Amino acid sequence: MTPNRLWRLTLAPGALWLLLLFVAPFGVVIAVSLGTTDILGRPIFGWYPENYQQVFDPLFVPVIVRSVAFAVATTVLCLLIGYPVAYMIARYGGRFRNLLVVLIILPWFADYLVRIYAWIVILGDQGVVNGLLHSAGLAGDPPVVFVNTPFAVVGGLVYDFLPFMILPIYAALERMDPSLIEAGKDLYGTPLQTFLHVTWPATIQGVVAGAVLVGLPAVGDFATAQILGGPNTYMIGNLIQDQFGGGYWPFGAALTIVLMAMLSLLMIFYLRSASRPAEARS
Amino acid sequence: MASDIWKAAINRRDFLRGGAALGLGGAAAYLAACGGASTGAGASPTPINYAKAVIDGDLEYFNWAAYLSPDLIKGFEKHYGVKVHETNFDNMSGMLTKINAGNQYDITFPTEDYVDQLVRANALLPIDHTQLTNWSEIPAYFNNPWYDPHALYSVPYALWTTGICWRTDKVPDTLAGSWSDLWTLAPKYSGKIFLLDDFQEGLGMSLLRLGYDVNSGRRDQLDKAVTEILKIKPDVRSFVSNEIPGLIDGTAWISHAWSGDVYQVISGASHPEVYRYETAKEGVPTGNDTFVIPKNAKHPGTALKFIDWMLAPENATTNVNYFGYPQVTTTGITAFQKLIAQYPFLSITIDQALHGLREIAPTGAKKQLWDSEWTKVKAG
Repeated sequence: MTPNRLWRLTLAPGALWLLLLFVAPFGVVIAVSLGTTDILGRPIFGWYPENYQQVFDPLFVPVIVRSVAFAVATTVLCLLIGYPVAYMIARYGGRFRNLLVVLIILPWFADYLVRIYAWIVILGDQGVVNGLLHSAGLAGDPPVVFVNTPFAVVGGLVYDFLPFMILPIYAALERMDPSLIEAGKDLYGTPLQTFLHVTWPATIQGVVAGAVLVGLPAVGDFATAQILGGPNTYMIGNLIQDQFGGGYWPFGAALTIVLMAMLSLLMIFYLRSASRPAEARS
Repeated sequence: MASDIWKAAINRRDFLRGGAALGLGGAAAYLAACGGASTGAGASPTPINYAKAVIDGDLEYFNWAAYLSPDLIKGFEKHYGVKVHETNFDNMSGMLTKINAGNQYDITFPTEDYVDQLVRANALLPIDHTQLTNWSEIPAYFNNPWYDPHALYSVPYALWTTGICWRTDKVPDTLAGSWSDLWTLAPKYSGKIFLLDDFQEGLGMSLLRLGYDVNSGRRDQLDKAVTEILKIKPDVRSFVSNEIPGLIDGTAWISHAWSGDVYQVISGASHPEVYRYETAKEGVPTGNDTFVIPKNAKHPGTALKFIDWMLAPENATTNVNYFGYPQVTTTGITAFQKLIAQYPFLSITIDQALHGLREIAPTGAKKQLWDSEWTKVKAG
């Protein structure tokens, strides 16, 4: 066997993985999206393209707008919080860098749902924060309503996805040659100018990667809105989840396909923008 | 399953819907298991092959979390020298999804309207009453209930009503025993109101208030019901599947509620005397849960033994004292009446259960209509 062939063989497990766990289930989702159901709600394959018509019902416009708005707000907040954190670790973390990165990931060792529920304990009407406000004489009766609001959902989403913003930016900052910043200063750049003209362009790829990693899952998230949300936080993820958890599977599948198509467009945009600087360099 | 963590805190109606979280992978496994869905309409009249009540292995038990006394499960294990493997569902649809996916459970607990569906889909094993030494405990009506002629496939488990629960210390108003109370009180107690996140209960309550059939299939009536709910939605704090914690911790002062859950609120609260529950004069949704044995059960003999164990008078009493719902046996109902003697507003009798309104799980096109109407409530 030539080394070339051997190398190609190493692709097999990955390809098999994708085939079994992505391509095949995706085919099933497409098939279900075009089918109908029996009396127990089990899918029956068939040709019912009207499932897709339902997706474009004006009823769902506010749900889609809300999901995108929450995802954009989440991404912006993650960037505003994540960039300084990544910057501090990359530039001033010294020998503690790796430890700090581990500390950022550490909470993610606990289950996602446990971490969201923890926010109820912290922000609930009888929660820790309201308790502190009460003892400080600031509030307490009636308590400040944090949970069941859009703010709680966006806050929860930021908390859920923040590491996905920090890590790519950190990686980009680490790759960056610190002497570039020195050069910027040598050219009499103010710290702000140096940041805008040197550091930011050098790390824009990390920012875009972070925005994709945060924004895409945030659009489709359902558990955060379900647990921390209220009557006005219903997202497209909740709509899809309600279809599979008792609603009409074919409609849920059609929604999934349409959402994936929308997100794929964003992904293509990202891949193109990510490949451009690489081409420029070569 | 992540939801196992919450076993202690979660009640029967709760839904983390962990199953749905499995997403695509689950769908694939599901379809693989079904080999393309089969449509079984109408119970098959083939010769009945009854199981015998003899222990034939460990029990695969599938129920709402905390909806049956754990002491009785332990007692059953000890008495018969078997293990009970417990799995929980978070709502009826979740139960159905797992059964559909080909999971093999020996016993599960559908509500009556889902029994009807499962029977029509030929998914249940018939139960021979002569195999149950305690069958005589079952009240007469349940020998031939509407959802299961001749009780061929199910044994009744627990009764409930749906109504409104409130705290008299926070809400001193006089309630009118009407679904309209939610609308009347909404502006005054804005942000302190819970509605159940259940499409049958939510739409049903609004339909009843408007004087329509609780199971209406008419789009114009459902549209009106939705419009009415949307009127109070700005005052609703949350749509919940589990109203118990909010009522206990003070997040909710008024809640659309299930009768047995109210008992759990009362038994969990530091000031049990402040809670009241009312049913509405426009109509009281009523129903019961059941024991059934799925057709693909591996240990139907043990399942029959378990049902018989639960029907035994002393065990029914233990169970009622644990979960606060009237178990549908002569002894269970007596135990329940004793349990709620201090709380007469929680009473529910067999007679009420028989004449109460039934929410019938919609199927087919009607189900799609109900789903989309409920989505208007949630998304609007």
